[in-house]
Amino acid sequence: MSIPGPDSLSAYLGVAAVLFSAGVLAMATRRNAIGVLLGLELMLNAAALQFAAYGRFRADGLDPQGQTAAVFVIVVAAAEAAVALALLFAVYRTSKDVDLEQTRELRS
Amino acid sequence: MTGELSHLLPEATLAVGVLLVLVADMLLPAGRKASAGLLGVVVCFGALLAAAVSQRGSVSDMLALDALAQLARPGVLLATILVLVAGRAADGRDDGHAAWVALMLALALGALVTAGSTNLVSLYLGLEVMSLAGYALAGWKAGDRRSAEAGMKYVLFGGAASGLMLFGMSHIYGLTGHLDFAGIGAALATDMPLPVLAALILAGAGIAYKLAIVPFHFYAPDVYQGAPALAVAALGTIPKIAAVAVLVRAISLTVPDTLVPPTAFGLALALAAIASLLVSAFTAVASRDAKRIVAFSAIGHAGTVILALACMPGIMPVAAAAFYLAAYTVANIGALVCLAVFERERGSAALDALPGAMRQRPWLTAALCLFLFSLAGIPPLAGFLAKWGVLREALRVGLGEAGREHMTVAALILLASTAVSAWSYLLIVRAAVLQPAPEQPRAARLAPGLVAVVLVCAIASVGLGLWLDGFASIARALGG
Repeated sequence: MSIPGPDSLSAYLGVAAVLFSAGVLAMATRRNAIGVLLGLELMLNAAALQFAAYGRFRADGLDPQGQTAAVFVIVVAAAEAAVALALLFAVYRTSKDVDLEQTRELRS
Repeated sequence: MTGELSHLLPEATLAVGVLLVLVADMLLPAGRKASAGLLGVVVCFGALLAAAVSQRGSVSDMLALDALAQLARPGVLLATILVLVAGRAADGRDDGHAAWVALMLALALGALVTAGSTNLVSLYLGLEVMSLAGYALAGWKAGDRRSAEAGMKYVLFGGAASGLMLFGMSHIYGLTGHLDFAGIGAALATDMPLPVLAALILAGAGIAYKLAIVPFHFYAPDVYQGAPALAVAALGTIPKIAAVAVLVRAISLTVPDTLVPPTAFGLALALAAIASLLVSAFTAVASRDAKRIVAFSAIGHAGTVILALACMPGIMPVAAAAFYLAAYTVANIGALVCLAVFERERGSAALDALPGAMRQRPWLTAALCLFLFSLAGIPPLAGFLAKWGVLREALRVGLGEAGREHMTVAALILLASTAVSAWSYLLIVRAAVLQPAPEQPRAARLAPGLVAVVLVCAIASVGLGLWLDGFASIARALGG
């Protein structure tokens, strides 16, 4: 079975690291809640890619556990996105905005 | 496999219960739909019964039903029952109550899976089931801006924490080649390279978020203030029980004994505990909202539990943590149920809204004070005995074991922060009892369900405080 793409673990880990950093950056700097959510998806996908890559490039051969974990991550991420979007919609309905600076009501 | 699957009876009961409640909501005639709450309570009692008769064992390498899980399961289910009964009495609405009950059952299901997990995948699944239900519960009040904002913050911060956790977990898997705790522990037994330690700490982020300890605490005040009080009662207690159970198991299985006490890992726990205690004590005093004060001090209570765990290895620290959690859970649920009543009648739980509560609802206010005193650690209530147990463990380790002197400092900080946070609880008591208010009529009688929940929590808060044999009994249950 030949898989297209680079045949080394470090290439995939590098891509995952870039994805993860981009996600963290987006979560930290975006003011729009949808942008924050996009950053979150990048972080989760970086983790899923790492699970799959680590499972594929094991010293003692392919390990299905890594791929399985990646599938779990993808499924749960979809559920999480659904709940998050529902909550953002609830915020939008009450304040007509999902800008995190504008919707701040809770403080001491 | 069939023998193994029978261990999952409580979880299966809850999962079926979620569906049953939703179906019942469709079948029940309008006006009777609130009975779904009763069904939820029955399902929880069923799961409790199943947990009581279940044997110890494990389900492949995913879930373990060890002494810890056997202790955490009834804790989670009893807390769920208390919140469900209070919710059925407090929520006057007819439609939509069933969905709330289904979410509460899903929260309990996630907590049971988390509490029993012995594998990174089952831990992640359990945490997420718990979180997804929790996010929805926090944003539950339809059309309420603050509740929606609380839900949004909870889901965004929670997502960030689970992203960090997954990133750490995938590195743990890659570096050790295992997903199950025992395999990871075996791989780490010989040496613990720095990257793995970093990955372990990242993976701890998800658990730290559920516990709301520093540095994953910043969501708690906003979420607790904005979310409905009963949701806070559930979110502040049930996930904590589960997170502590799995943290204890993860520590005892993955971190080699030789590495726990004086080195980086034990120190990291102690530092997180100290930071939580300090942050909680000094921010709670500045708050002007009763739910916010409860939130800030919840950070400190979680810090105290972590302080007990930092005294591991051994059974007694875990027993102290378990007793502390039990005392905290009943007092916290009781206090928030009382605040839920005041919040509904007075529009908010801000300190400015509380004066006159003593005249309007003398018994409920007295109960609220009892719960707050227990949380503050005033004898002879449960909170005092629980704090004393943690303090004793910290001093035993700090004074008795070489290289762990920092635990003595931690014990002193625990004492100091207890004094400061007691002051913030007294702020609530002062607002509700002492502050003058215009004459208000005695309020109507409370629903029997609410009275029952408050009574049970009050009796438990007093009873646990007088149960001097408690630590030894819990230790026997954990060790046997």
